[in-house]
Amino acid sequence: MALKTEPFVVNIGPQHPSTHGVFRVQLTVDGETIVDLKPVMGYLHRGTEKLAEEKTYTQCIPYTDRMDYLAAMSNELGYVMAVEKLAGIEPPPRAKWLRMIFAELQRISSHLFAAATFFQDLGGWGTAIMYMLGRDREQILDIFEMTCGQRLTTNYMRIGGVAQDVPPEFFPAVRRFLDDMPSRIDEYFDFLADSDLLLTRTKGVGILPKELAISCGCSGPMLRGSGVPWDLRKTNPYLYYDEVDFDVIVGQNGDCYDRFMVRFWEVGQSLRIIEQCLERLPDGDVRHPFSPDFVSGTFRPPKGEVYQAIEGPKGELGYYLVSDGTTAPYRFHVRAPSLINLTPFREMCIGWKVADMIVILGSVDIVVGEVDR
Amino acid sequence: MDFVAFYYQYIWNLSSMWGSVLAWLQSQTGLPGWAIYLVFGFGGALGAFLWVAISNIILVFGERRLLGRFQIRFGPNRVGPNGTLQLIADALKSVGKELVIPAGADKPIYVLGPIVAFIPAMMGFAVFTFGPTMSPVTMDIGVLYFQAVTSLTAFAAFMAGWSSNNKFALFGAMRAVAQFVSYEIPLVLAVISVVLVAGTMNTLTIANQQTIVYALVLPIALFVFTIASIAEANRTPMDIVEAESEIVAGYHTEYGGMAFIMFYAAEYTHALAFGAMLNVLFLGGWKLFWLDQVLPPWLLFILKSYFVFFILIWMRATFPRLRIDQLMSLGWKVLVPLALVSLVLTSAGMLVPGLPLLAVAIFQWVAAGLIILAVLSRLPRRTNREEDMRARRLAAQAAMTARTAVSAQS
Repeated sequence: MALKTEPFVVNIGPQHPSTHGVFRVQLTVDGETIVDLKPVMGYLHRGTEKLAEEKTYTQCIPYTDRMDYLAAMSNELGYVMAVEKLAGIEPPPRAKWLRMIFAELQRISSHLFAAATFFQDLGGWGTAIMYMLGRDREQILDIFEMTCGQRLTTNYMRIGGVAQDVPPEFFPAVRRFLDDMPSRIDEYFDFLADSDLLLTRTKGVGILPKELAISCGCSGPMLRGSGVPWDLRKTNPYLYYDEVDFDVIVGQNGDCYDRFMVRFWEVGQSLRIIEQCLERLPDGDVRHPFSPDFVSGTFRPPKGEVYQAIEGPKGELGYYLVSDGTTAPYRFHVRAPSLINLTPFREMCIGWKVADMIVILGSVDIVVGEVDR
Repeated sequence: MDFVAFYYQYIWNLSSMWGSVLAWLQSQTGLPGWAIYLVFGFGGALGAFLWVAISNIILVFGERRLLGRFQIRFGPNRVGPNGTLQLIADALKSVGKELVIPAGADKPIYVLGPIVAFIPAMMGFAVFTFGPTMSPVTMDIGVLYFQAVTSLTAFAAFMAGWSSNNKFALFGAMRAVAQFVSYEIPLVLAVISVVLVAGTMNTLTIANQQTIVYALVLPIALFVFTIASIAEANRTPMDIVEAESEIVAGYHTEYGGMAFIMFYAAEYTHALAFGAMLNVLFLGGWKLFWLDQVLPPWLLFILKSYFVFFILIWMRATFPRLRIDQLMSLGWKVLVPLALVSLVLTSAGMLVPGLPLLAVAIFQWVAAGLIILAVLSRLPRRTNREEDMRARRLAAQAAMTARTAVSAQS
């Protein structure tokens, strides 16, 4: 007997436990199978780019914190590097090494967050969240707090350096984190990444082919999960990334599991980078001598435009700035990896079940603050 | 009467205590026998209900505290000493809430849903064996009765999901029906193995007969029963019916206040019922080494049932959940064949007159071992940590060198 069925539309979000914020997906499903999908965004639009045109260059820094609020350090880093490129300022070496340490700590924290929420999306009842976020990420946030007084929206990077030097208790804290993490990664691998249930749910699910990933402009773990070794730290080195030793991690199939594993192993690579940064951290100033001027609002970079991209935790985080010679940027545009990584979302989901859509969205790892800005 | 005698006569066997009370009542009032029988039965039902009600409180609170422990946090510890009054506060809050009936809901069915969910879950408790002679109802088809009433939950889930007029609830309802009906089959097949060995469907006899627990005699049936009852009780990793990360709360998305509490209680009652049934069928009910000489059997029965529930909590804290199609294929392609294997082996053993239970057990264990070996040999080799990471790094390096070579040529 053939049952007459017809597809129906169901809204996942904007208020839904697993859309990582106020993100909405319009699903057309046939039974449990997805036949069409439309991501709807804009619920968290705060006009950051327009607001920045009214602020001085230094005042823009805290606004960047609020875009990808899980990786504030990386956002600031991208922005201040864009301004420095515009004005031709070279920060002192200690500041650059410190920036690398904080960017990598932030990458670890962001990847841990992605992994933990990924388990939550799979139905893991928060155990991974409590371990990865309540224990490991907390250590990173404590390090941020002792350095700049803030845990989430750090506001630590400055044009021409960082806000202040790290306190003496910073080094033992980072040391302890570096010592603790490897055994925990082993533990997570054994219990979570290598568990049969996780493999069943994620292997071969939501495959993103290499060509599609490239043509959609994906970047970060999303692109590397599909087997493209594109990492701006290697391919287009900034700060001192060409002087430290680390590996690019790629996946083989481009499925959810590969994207997850790329993040998982990148945590280890970030630990390696931090280790080398600590060894090579020189003494000296952390602020460019002209830095105080930048805060006072009298800083006017020369006319021109600049694009500066860094490898953020979620992908290529680019800032496009146009200066008209005044104290505020004429145009402030962000190439947000979360938004662009969502481009192939429809193609990845079609044909899979509703439950898989949640997992695929989790493996894309979006932060709605950055999608909508 | 000294304490030891009192202990062994009355505390040991609560139904004997209840019987003495009734005998006294009869001698005082001269009520007819049928009235006394009614009161006797009512007392048993009330006892079972009280146990369920108290257990629900203990289990929900215990689960929240234990989950807290599993997840390196505290769990509720503010209301009352060590948070013990937390559930009372939650219940009061829920009772005080308005029962909102959504627009477009099928009102009578919507209201009936939570009631239909709770009652069958409760009814299963009539046949549990709290002691060698203690059971609310002694029924010769006890096992069949249990399976019959507990499977009614599928109706409740479907009623609630369909009448809510909500798409998430509809998803939950569809999943519920598919899951409950599919897992009913391996569950019943696994139970038949036990019935064959025991030679009866009377739960009291099954529990009393287990000089050697059936968990050791029927390992395959135990495996199938455990997995299937997790699915039937709708617990993680098979809680797709109310998968909160996908379909919000499944079939009871639209319920709030007391109606939600009914569903919640029904879920725990159900899980406890399956834990207790597993205890009766496979773990010997009230038997526990030498402890059953010291502690009253009903206490042991309760503790053992809680232990089974503890394992469910443990699993909940550990595993992610399966997908609907994976769940279905696990049920039909793995559990049903396994249950059939167990059934065939057991019936073959029963054909031989006078075959000792030990021989049946040996056959079962050999079969179980063979199945495990077969599965292990077909499984892909497990990934190794260092290997996995090395492969990914090497792939990246190879790809990068290839690209640099291309760009150098061009």
